Amino acid sequence: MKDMSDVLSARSLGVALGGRTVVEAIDLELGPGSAVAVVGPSGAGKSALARALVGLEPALSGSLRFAGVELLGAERAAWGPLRRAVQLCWQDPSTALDPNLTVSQAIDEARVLAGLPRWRPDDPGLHALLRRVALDPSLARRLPRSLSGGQRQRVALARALAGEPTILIADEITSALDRPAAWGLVDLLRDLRQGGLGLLLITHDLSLLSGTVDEVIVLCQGAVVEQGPTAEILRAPQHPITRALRAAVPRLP
Amino acid sequence: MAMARMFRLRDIVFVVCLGRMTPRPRAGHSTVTKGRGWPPAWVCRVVPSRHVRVVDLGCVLGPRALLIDVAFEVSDGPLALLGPSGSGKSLTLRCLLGLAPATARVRGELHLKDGRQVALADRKRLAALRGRGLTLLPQEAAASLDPVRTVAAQLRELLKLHGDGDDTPESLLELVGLRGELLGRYPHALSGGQAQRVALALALACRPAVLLVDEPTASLDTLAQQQALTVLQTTCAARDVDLVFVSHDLALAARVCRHAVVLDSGCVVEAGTMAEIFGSPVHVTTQTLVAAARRADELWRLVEAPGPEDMS
Repeated sequence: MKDMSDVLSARSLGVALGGRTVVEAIDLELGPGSAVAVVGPSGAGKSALARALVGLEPALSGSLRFAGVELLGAERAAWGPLRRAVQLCWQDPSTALDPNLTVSQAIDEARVLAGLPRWRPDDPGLHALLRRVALDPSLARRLPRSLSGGQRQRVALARALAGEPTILIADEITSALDRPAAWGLVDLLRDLRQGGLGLLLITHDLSLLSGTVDEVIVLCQGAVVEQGPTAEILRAPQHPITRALRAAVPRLP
Repeated sequence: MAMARMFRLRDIVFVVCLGRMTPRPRAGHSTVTKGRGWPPAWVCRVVPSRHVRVVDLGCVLGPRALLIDVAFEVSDGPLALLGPSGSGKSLTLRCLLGLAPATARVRGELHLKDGRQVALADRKRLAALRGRGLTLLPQEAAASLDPVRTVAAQLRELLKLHGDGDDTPESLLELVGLRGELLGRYPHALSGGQAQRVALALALACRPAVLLVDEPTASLDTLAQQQALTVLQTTCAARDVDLVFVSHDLALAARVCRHAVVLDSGCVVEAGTMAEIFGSPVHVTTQTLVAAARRADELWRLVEAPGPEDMS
């Protein structure tokens, strides 16, 4: 019997935005240490799905369970455990951070929200976290505007990790970065996953998947068009969208 | 015939000027490494310009030198301007357009195909060149469009300012592979990929001799990226536009360009053909960029190795 604690499971989950169905009938199971990717072109409903999974998108159909408890139709209080255990890391690092908070303040805020002991700018725990995301602890007192895009994205990631989540949803976190920085972040996600973190990676770049995730879900206009183990999907994509996404990865001369 | 004689006359003038124009050593610039020594400074000075060439571009803002002796030439196909974030790629383009920060001191020269030479400090002349001479395709295409005017109105305005009478809004949209019905749309009703192509149509409406493209696909998904690059390539080839392609993604640049210049901290650290850059990167910055580009490729080979028959 599988341990159901800390497992996020969606069964034929649908998301509607403004009366229009943007994601339909998605099945997904995510526990600590497992890694799933959702891929698809722009407008496929990837980000709407990410928000729905953490309860930021209210209109849902189907079933969403966390640690065995049904959340759809449940009271607000029932979402508490999920909100603490599942963290979302946003797409755009320039808007994901409060411009008025320093790095340490932003991370401290996340600690407070998660009900964990606070961290001062010189706290060893904070420094360890910053080092974990490959940031220099001396950046703790800096404001987001004085950081590069790659550094900001790492701060956003550190903020998501500060609440000590068991599952991380990473929404296109590499798309605003240059290639070397993007690979640095992917390596970091792989390490975190080895450390037992559950990972939902949302991307349109298929080159990041192999070696990072076990399962791939391909979304197109809100519908799942393909779902299966990473190697299988990458080797023999069945749907035209998956093929097009694969062919779109630039090849070297 | 008359043209040829003119060129020969110009050569003589250049050779006469040689003594005066050979580069003199400048304080503080001696440590600048130019990979493979390309292009040697004397080449820039002597050969009459048949290509678009940027010579000794420097940009100083307050106490900081942002660009030091940046030099390159657009010959034999599109040129890629590569480098990590913050290496001065976009600033180089802004200097060429005369749009460097107002307080910055810019020096250097821009040599155009028709033989004109413009000092990069001369913002008025650079402003006059914008449009017909040099045109920028900006990074955020969607944000560069006027949100309160239709696609057709924006195209018509540029055709009136810079066009040569042959183009119509319809023909330009067709050129970039968009349907004519988009003409009546406002920018908010365009997808990211469509906005990017409309921006390209706007740039081509100016009939530019040189098109400067700043990270054209950074905000697009991989599918739209591929389409946008193909359109960019075919239209620039069809119109004989010199392309300067700024990117941090070597794999993308390799699709479009044959030559590349790598910038780091405002200096040209390496230059050569794409094959040279990929084959034997010399500078550590280039090596990092190449390694990052290669990783995606290696993963593909890994995935595809067991079943080559799956290649579709």
